[in-house]
Amino acid sequence: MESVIRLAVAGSQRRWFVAVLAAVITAALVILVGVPGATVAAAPAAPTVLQCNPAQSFPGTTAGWEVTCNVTIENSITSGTSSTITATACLTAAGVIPTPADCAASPGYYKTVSNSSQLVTSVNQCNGIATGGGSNVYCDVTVINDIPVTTPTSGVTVDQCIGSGTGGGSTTSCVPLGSTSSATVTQCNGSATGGGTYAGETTVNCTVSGATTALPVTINQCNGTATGGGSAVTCTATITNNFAAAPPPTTTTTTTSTTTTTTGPTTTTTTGPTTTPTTGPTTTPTTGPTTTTTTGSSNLTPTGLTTTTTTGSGNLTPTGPTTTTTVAAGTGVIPGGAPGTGAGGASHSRDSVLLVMGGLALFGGGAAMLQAIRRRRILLAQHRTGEDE
Amino acid sequence: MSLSPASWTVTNPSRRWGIISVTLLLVAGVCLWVGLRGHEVLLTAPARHPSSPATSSTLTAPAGAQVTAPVAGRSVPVSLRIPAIGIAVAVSTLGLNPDGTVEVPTDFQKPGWYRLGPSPGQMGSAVILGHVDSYQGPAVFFRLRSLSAGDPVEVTLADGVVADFVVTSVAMYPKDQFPSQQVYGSHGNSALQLVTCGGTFDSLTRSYLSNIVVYTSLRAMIPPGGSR
Repeated sequence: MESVIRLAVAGSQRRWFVAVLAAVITAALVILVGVPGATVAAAPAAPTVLQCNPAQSFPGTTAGWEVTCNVTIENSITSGTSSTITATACLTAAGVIPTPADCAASPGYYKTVSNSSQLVTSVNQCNGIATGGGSNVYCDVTVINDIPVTTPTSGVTVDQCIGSGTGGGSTTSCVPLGSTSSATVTQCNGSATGGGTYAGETTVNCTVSGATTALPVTINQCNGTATGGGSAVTCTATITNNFAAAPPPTTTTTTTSTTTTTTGPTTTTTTGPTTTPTTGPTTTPTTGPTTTTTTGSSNLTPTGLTTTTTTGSGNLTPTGPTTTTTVAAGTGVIPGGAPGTGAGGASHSRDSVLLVMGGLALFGGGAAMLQAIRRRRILLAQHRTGEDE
Repeated sequence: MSLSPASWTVTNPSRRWGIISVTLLLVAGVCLWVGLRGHEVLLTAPARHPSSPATSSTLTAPAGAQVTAPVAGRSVPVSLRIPAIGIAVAVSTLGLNPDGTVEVPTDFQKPGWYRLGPSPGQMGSAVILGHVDSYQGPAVFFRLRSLSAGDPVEVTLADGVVADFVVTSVAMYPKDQFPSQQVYGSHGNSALQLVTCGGTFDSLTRSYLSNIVVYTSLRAMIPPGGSR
C-alpha cells in the first residue's frame, strides 16, 4: 500500500514537474516570440467564424498552453440582416487560470469586433489545439439571435463528449449528453484523452445552454483538443433568442386638407327658348362632401356653392413624425497606426550581377597583382645576376 | 647584363601586370560598391509626389474616369492586376494585430486585402496593402508610387466578378500622420486604396518614414466572362 502511495505521489510530482516545466518553456516562448498567429479568421462577411484552430496558425502540439478563446455572435434580423462578431483570445502559460485582467495583460491577448451584413451560420474554434501535455483549453461560443417575435425556432441538437476523457484518472461533466449526427452543437469529442487532470479540475467539462435557435447556426468546438496528459478542456456553447417586436415600418404620412371654396352665388341665367331646366339640387358626392348646386337652366354652368373637401387622402395614418437615420455604409473596423510595409531591402539589396562581376574583377586583380609581383621578383633576380656578373 | 630603371618602365612585364591589377581592382571596387548599394536611390521618394501631407499630391482623374458604377455585394478578392506597373498577383487577407494596427502580408510578393473593411466593389473603401521591398530586394508594390491618375486597377473577386477601378490620386504621408479615416473610411462611393511604404528609409529602425497611398474609384463591375 505504501509503495502504491509512493508511486502515486511520484506520478503526481512528475506530472507537476512536466506541467511546471512546460509552463516555463511556454512563458519563455510567449515572451520571446509572442503569440504566433493567434489571429481570428472572423471574416465579417463570411458566414463562418474560425478562431483558435491550427489553420489559424494556433499552437498545436507544444505542451503547457493555457488557451482561452471566446466568440460572441450577435445575429440580427430585426432591422435588416447583420451580425456582430466579438472575438477574444488569451494565450498564456499553463499553471494559473487567468483572470480577465491577467488575460488582457498577457502578450497573446487580443480582441476584435467586426460587423457583417450577413448572418453568421457557423462557428469553428478550439479544434485540435494544445495537444501537448499539461495544457488547458477554455473556449466559449455565445450566439445571440435578435429576431422578431414571430420567428419560428428549431430545437438545438447536441453531439458532445464522445470519446473524451478516456484516460486514466479523468473526470467528465457534460450537460447535456448527446450524440446526434449533424448536430447544432458538436463539441468536446475526442478531447482530453491523455489521462490525468489538472489541479483537480474536471478533465472534460462541456455545457450547451439554450434549447432552441431561431436562426440556423452550427457550433463546432473543442474537438480533438487538449489530448496530452494532464490536460483539461472546458467549453460552453450558449444560444439565446431575443424576440423583439419588429420596428414600426417607415411610414409616409401625407396629411392634406384642401378646401376649395367658391363663395357667393354664381348665377348664370340664360334666357331663350332653348332651355333645359334642371330642377332641384344635384348633388354628386365625391370624396368628401362635394355639393354641386345648379340652379337655373341652360348649359349648366355650376352655380351656387361648390365645396370640395378632401381629408386624409393617401396612406394616411398620422403616426407622428417620420425619422430617417442615415448610417454611413461601407465602413469597417478602422485600424490604428500606419502599416509597416517595407523592410528596406531594396535599399540594401544586392545586385547579384554586379557582385559577380566585382568578384571576378577582384579575383582577376589579385591574380594580376601576384603575377606582377612574381615578374618583378624575376626581373630583380635577373638584375642582381647581371650586376654580379 | 645591366638593366636601367628606365628600360624596365617601358618593357617591364611586371609593370604591365601591375596596371592590369590596379584596373581590375578598381573595377571590382566599383562593381561591389554599386552592387551592394542596390536600389537605394530609387526608393528615396516618389518621383512626382512631395512627402508633406499638406502638399501630398492629389492628381485629379480624367473627367471620363469618374463613372458611377453599380455597387457590388461582398466577395473576397482573389487577385489584383495593375497593368501599368506589371502586377498580376494573388491576394491574401489581412486582419488586425493585437495592438489594433493592420496586419501586413507575410509574403513580400503577395499583397493582402484588409478583410475587416468593405470588399472591392462594395460601398466604402476597400484597402489592399503590399510591401514595397523585403530584406532581399523589391517587393510587390515596389513600383506603386509610379502610378498616376487614370491608370486602371482590376481586382478579381471570388465570385468571378472583376472590380474595375481607376487611379484618382497618389499621395504620400509621414507615418505619424497617416490618415486612417481617409484611407479606410467610407466617402460615399466605392473605392479601393492601395497602400505601401515609401519615403526615406530609416536604417536604425529599418523602416520607411512614410506611406504611399494610391486612391482609386470604381469604374465598373464586370461580371464573370464579361469583356473588359
